[in-house]
Amino acid sequence: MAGVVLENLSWKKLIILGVFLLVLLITFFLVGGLVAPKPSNVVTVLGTKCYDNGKKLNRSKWFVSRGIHKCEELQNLDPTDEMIVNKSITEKQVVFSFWLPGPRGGEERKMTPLFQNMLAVLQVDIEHSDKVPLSKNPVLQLDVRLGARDEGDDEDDWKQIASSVEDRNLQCTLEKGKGEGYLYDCELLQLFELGSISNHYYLVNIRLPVNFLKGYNVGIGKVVDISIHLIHQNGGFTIVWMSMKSVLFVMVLSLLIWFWRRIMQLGRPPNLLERTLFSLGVVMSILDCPIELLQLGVDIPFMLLLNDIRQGAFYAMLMSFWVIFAGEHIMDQTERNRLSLYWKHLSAIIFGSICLFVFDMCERGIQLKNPFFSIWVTSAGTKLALAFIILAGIAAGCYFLFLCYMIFCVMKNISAKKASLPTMSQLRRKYYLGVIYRFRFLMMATLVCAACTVVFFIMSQLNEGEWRWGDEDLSLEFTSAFFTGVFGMWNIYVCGLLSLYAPSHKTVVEIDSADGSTEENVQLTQLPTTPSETSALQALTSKAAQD
Amino acid sequence: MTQHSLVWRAYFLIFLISRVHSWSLNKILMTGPKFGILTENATLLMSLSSSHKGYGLFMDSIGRGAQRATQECQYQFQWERWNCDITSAQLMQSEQPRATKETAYVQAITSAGVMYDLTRQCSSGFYNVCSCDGSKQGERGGYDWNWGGCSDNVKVGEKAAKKLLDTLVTKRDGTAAMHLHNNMAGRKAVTKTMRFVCKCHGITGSCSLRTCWKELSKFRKIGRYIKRKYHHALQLDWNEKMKDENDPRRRSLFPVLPGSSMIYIEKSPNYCKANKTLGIPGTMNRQCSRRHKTRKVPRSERRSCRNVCRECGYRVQKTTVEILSTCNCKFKWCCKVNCDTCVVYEDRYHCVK
Repeated sequence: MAGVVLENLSWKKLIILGVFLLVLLITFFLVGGLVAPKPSNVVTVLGTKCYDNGKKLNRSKWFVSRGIHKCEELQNLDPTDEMIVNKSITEKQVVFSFWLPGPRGGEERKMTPLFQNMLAVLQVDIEHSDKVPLSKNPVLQLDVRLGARDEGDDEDDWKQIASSVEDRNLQCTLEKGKGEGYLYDCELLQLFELGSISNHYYLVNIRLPVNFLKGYNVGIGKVVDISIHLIHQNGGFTIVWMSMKSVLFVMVLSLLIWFWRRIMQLGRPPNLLERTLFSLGVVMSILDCPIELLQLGVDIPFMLLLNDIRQGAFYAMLMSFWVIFAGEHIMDQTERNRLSLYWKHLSAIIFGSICLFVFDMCERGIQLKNPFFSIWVTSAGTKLALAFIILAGIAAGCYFLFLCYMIFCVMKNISAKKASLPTMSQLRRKYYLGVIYRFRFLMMATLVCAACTVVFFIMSQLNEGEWRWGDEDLSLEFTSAFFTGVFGMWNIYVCGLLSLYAPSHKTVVEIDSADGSTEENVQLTQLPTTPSETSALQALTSKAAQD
Repeated sequence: MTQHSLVWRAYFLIFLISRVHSWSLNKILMTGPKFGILTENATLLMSLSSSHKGYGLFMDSIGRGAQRATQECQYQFQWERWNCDITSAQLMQSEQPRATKETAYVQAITSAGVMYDLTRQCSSGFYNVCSCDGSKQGERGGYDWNWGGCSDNVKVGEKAAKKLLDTLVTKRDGTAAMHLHNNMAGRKAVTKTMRFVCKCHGITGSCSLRTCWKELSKFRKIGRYIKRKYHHALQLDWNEKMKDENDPRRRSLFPVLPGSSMIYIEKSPNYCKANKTLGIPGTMNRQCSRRHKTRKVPRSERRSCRNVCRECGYRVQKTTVEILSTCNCKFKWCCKVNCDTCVVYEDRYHCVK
């Protein structure tokens, strides 16, 4: 590889660039922490227990929890309750109704496309009673419908989005020695996930059909209440995130163009490393491209899936880049510069990515058809999902072993080369020093970025948890800062690589003017060399000749 | 005729509340042990809530909150000398609000009950009081819904409960200060017992994206928490000087005390012997428990015969009673339960002379 900008940059310029990138990073961090709200918001809605007084089960009727079409409400579901006894209400006539989101300050709140996506989880309150115990591993069957309506629509005009009958495994525990009336602690159940929000109001109707013959909803105990926790992205976070992405997109794209033009100016076909770096830049800019903005105008339900794929592609590309970079700096006798040499590493990455892609398609792909679907709810699905994830994990493990081995090789060669540096000629010493410097620099940058990501991640998890940073009034939103900071950091990492590892004009000029061939030939005859060094030098000379 | 008078009484109460600015409620809440009246009236008022929205909203919550609190208080003090018999007629006769530890418990649990109910109402969506202030604290104006969502339902409940119950305390003396502080202790009990729940929803369901929120814990747990605070309640040395210099309505009156601790002024009377003037029924004829230790029995229940009977100078008498009970139940959600009737013999223990 020809000399890169990094080698020919003076310390002063490098420090200026470093400080500039650091300032940029801090800016991203602060924008997330100070301007953006929390990434997501939770709305808790307690279900209204509606009485369906129709004689026949009418699944097309909507039961609305408030407003002018409010259903007839049941105060409680106790078998001894007056209304239940008088009207001999059965489970077919009880509908849990949820209008999402809830009203605040005396007016209805609307969902907006800015929220990007929403996820609803179900919390079931089950009262303990010695007489009606929970069976072992009870399965809750939900007959559920999801409808939507816009503000201007007729109050009764709920359009069905999805309807399904879903099974969910209940996992409930009761504190020891607690008697009648205690509520079980039940794990949250996933209800649905929507990848786009195109309506103002959403309505969920849930029935719990009982069938003794088939064993549906038999051992579920006394379900007294159901509530939904609706998680959606915050509008403010979307705005900040999109603006940041736009800025980064322009930045990466312009650097990418600059980088490519530099390579074109060389007058030789780009080598493997340059091509890899270029592809990394391309994938980064695809990830940066704020196509989510389209959601504000158009309904794109597959956006979640698309984002997962974009993110996955970036991770895969980054990992490939590391492997190829390390491989190209091994400095042994092999002539590299060919993608086929890395088939082991790349196939590990591709295999892992495909596993995760298939898993994601199974989860989010099917959710496009049926938002209530979740691969984790059935035991077969769980096994399948786990299998994919474990395979991906094994692939990732293999990859890291390969990468570590490669880095080990590079390190070994570096120390060997360092020992023999003083005996080398000017040109070769310069060449090897350049290689070592480039490698070390990238290694440092990568380690710093990875360490920062891990540290930020742990900090944000701790901060989210029960353990909080200092005061509750702290105005720094750490979770948002984590997202913008880390995303910005990897962008800056790619930008830094693109600008510092672009081919340098200076080197080209030097090599051209050095009248290379004769001098190198002289040196070759003069110096006693080990075979590996000779071949490396031969590679160098051949490259110089190419130039 | 009775129907008519009932409605009339209800209207009168509304009139009172609006005119005298919560005089009656204040009285009821202040005196703690008498709040049984409140429950009664509030349930009466519930039916009127549709026509008088403004009051109805609050009345509903106060009513249900107080009801929940009463039940909880009676459960928690089932095996104590003072068994939280706050609905008994004798207690209502005592005019003097007594600022004892027990009153403190009642105040705290009522406040917790009202806050609990307000929060639940806010979640169930038909509550107009549920406001939308910024979820980000320390910033004026905060966010709006589209930018950062509304604040937690619990925070809204806490605010509303504070507004609702604290404005009812109009006096400015030691008892009022104690009441305000115990109200706060009750609210703090709700927030401190909250559970932290998280859901991961990142790429392929990983925890790279995680959202957490706080959830109300079961009211029983809150009751237990407040009872622990009751055992460690602090006696306040109140003197008249404090009244002049400070405004007892301010929280900062007891800056040294932690917000969740309960305070009282007077020493508790002897609950063993019946005392008509104080409205204490005494522990004579009270039941105690000698449940075997097969299951984990709480300490107060294990010690109940000693505490309620023997240390009060009574004997424990065992009687075996035959009770008809339900058994072999078959339950069909939601609302059908078929049981057989069984005869069970049970040992009961009472305090006798």
